Amino acid sequence: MTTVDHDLLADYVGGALEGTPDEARVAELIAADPAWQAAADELRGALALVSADLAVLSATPEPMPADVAARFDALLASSEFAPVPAAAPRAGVGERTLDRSDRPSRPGAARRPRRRWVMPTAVAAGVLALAGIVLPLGPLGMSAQEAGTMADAPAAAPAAAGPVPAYASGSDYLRESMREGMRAAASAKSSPDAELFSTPTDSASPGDVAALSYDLHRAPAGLARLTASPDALARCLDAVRTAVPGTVTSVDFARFEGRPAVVMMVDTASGRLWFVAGPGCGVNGPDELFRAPRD
Amino acid sequence: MTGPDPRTDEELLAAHAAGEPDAFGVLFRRHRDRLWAVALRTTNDREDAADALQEAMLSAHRAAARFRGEAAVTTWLHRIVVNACVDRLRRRQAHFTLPLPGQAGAEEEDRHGPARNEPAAPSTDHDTAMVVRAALAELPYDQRAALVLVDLQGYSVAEVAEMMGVAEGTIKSRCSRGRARLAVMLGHLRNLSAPPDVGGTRTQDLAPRGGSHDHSRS
Repeated sequence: MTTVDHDLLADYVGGALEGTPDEARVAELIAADPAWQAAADELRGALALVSADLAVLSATPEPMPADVAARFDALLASSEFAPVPAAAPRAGVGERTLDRSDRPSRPGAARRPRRRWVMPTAVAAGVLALAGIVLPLGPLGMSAQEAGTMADAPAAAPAAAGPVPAYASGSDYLRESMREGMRAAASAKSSPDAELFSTPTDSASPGDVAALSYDLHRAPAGLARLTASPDALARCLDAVRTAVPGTVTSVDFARFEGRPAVVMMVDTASGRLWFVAGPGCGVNGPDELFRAPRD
Repeated sequence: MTGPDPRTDEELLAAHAAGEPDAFGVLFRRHRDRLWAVALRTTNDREDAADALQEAMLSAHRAAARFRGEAAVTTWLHRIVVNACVDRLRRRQAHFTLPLPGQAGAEEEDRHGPARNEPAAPSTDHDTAMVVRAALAELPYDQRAALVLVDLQGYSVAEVAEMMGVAEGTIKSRCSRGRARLAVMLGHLRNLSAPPDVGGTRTQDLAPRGGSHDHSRS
């Protein structure tokens, strides 16, 4: 008798192993091993009861509470939900939150502060993309049209020297797919997620010290150092430029092979590159994880 | 008093994209209870559910013009909502994973013993719903989200895989393992003794046939 791998057994019973070599292996174990057989029988019986329980929950109404509904009504009536939102960013979009001032406090429940990503900018111009964020990092100026070539990328910034469009696509880039010049199909299915940016509140003039506030909902938490600080990101891009002389044309706070990573496109004299940096980018070099020709 | 707007979801979304002021609100109110249920059952927290739903609606509001009709509007909305919820939970990184039967350590046994090993014996459907909801809340969030969409909302595995951007096998695995954990927590499956799930914080998604490349719990 062998020890039952309950995860594997659950996968088998649930059909997750179909078409894999493990399917036959587990089937053999269940047929030949009394422990596996008993566990499989028990699990199948239990799952029928779980399905019944879940069906009860599914049939139970879960209406939006009246106070929450009222807040959404107010929000929907606000300018934030005015039509034709893509035409131009409006001041304050993304900053508004549901007004909880009238929410009765729950006994013993501390109110969590709103998480907000605030980026004080002390450099150069901030040209704002429609849905993405453009970091005012003048020395690392871009050729903006490149940004629009990435799948799922938000609308490209107007072509202008200076800023680098940055966003958090929520994608998980795969080594092999990048080598092939395409993003992973699985990741590419998340197009609405790129919209999870809040639009910046202002566009700064050169030399302004502007405070751009926005949400990078899909940025992995492991990249907080870079998403929270333009200085940190500037050091990262400097390190990248040292490693790969050229111009960084876009920045995606995403994942690479499952790990938090800054995925950049770089224009170099020899062509365009993917350059993937880890969370330590800019601390002691670019923390390079991967690079590959883009074309 | 006017009756319900007779337009379809697609028509409302198109009207919104064309600039009609109230179309998005009509669409949202039409589906808000279902969307709320998804958000609440996925986040298991009223505030998180409201915040995630707000983020999702802002996102949908802005992205409406690019809706291409590849899926139903409700599927599109659910996808945005559940991803907003999962993102919120992922950022918090406060989830833990209950072991499958046979994987509980002593500490876990102490903490979950009665709920895991004794039948919950609910007396009514309402009680059952409460117990199941509480158990669901104990699952890792990716398993929970998959079960909410598949078992509670009735979406197919393929649709949920599309929504969450992972392979179908990954959704099947999340559902299977989630249900197995629920079986223990709901008292339908006895707990066997075996080595604990080290750290109680991770399980690996199965990634059959090319894999999901999903490392959301990393």
